[in-house]
Amino acid sequence: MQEPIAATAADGEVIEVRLPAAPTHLPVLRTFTADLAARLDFNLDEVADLRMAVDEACAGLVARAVKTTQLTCAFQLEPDALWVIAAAQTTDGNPPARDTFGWRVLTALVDTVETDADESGVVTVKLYKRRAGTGA
Amino acid sequence: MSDDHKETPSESRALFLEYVALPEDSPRRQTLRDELVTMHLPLARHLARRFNNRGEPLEDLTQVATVGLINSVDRFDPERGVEFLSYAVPTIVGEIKRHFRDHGWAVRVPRRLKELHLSLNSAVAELSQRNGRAPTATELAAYLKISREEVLEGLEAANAYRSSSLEDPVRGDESLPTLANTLGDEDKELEGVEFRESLQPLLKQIAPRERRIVILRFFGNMTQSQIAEQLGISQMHVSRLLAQTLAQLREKLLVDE
Repeated sequence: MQEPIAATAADGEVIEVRLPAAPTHLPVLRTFTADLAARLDFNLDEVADLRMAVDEACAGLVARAVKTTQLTCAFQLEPDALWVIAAAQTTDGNPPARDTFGWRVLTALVDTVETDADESGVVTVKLYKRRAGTGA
Repeated sequence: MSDDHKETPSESRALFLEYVALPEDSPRRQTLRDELVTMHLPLARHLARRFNNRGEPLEDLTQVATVGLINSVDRFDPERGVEFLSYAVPTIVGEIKRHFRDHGWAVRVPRRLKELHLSLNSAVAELSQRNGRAPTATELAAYLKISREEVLEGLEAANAYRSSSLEDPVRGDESLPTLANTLGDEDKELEGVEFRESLQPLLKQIAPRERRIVILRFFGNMTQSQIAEQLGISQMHVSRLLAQTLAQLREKLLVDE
């Protein structure tokens, strides 16, 4: 149990969290994200970045989510990186705008941000963060 | 109370009278402002020490007290005939108290965890200094000679420590007097940002130090540890301020929509 999970995690293992798409539940997701990232041995700067990025992405989704639906957030573990894939059923079906402060925040906090929207109004935000490692 | 600062009230009063009489764009103004702040720094340090040992690092308290002092210098009106000290002391103490309210423990946390939080805080500072980047949980465990589980528990406690501040409302316009003094540097960081114009009104709504942190992190591409070093505060403090400011901005943006 003393080993970081990353050392034993199979490539592509997924942890999924589902919660009501309402702002009151976001603190749980923030805390979960930070704890998972720390367990994966991201350094504390990266942990704080991931925590804020997930918060930012999900707060944006939740604000536009259809009431009483669920927000899903999947954490896909890679040997030296983490994918966070957040999705919600939105009222407008539009992916996040790219000319906003929020977008700037997301792209500054993680290495890659991808968005997707399907015909049914489900909007997905994918965040990819590499672990800098301890060599530096 | 005033055993460790040595300026005389009349000296300070003379400077203030000269300071407020100068036009906004006078270069002498900045010099006088600096001088007035420096002159009263012992007062800020003294007041910060009065709140020591209540769970907040002294360096952070001193920083907060200094912000209170700068605000006092910016807002003090010597023409009213009140002594600067009788204006500055409540302003500084108010700033410190607000810091406690904003950053105090949100939930009851056992003493052991609070102590763990404090030792984590100093270990983070030490290791960041040594490695030039923030440490990982594994490195903290090795450094403090405790288990990784304990480190993770302590980091969780750090989150409880700040969660209340996220709920706080957006601050008022108290920072406006100092705006002109800080925007110059930040303009450089914002160069080349496409929606720079639309960003300005948003950034003006946050306090100068918070604004600086936001700009350095999101536009200057600095890590939290680097920002912490530049501002002379802890990485955890930077992290708290950033998260808090983002939450405020988001709330503001949603209201505006």
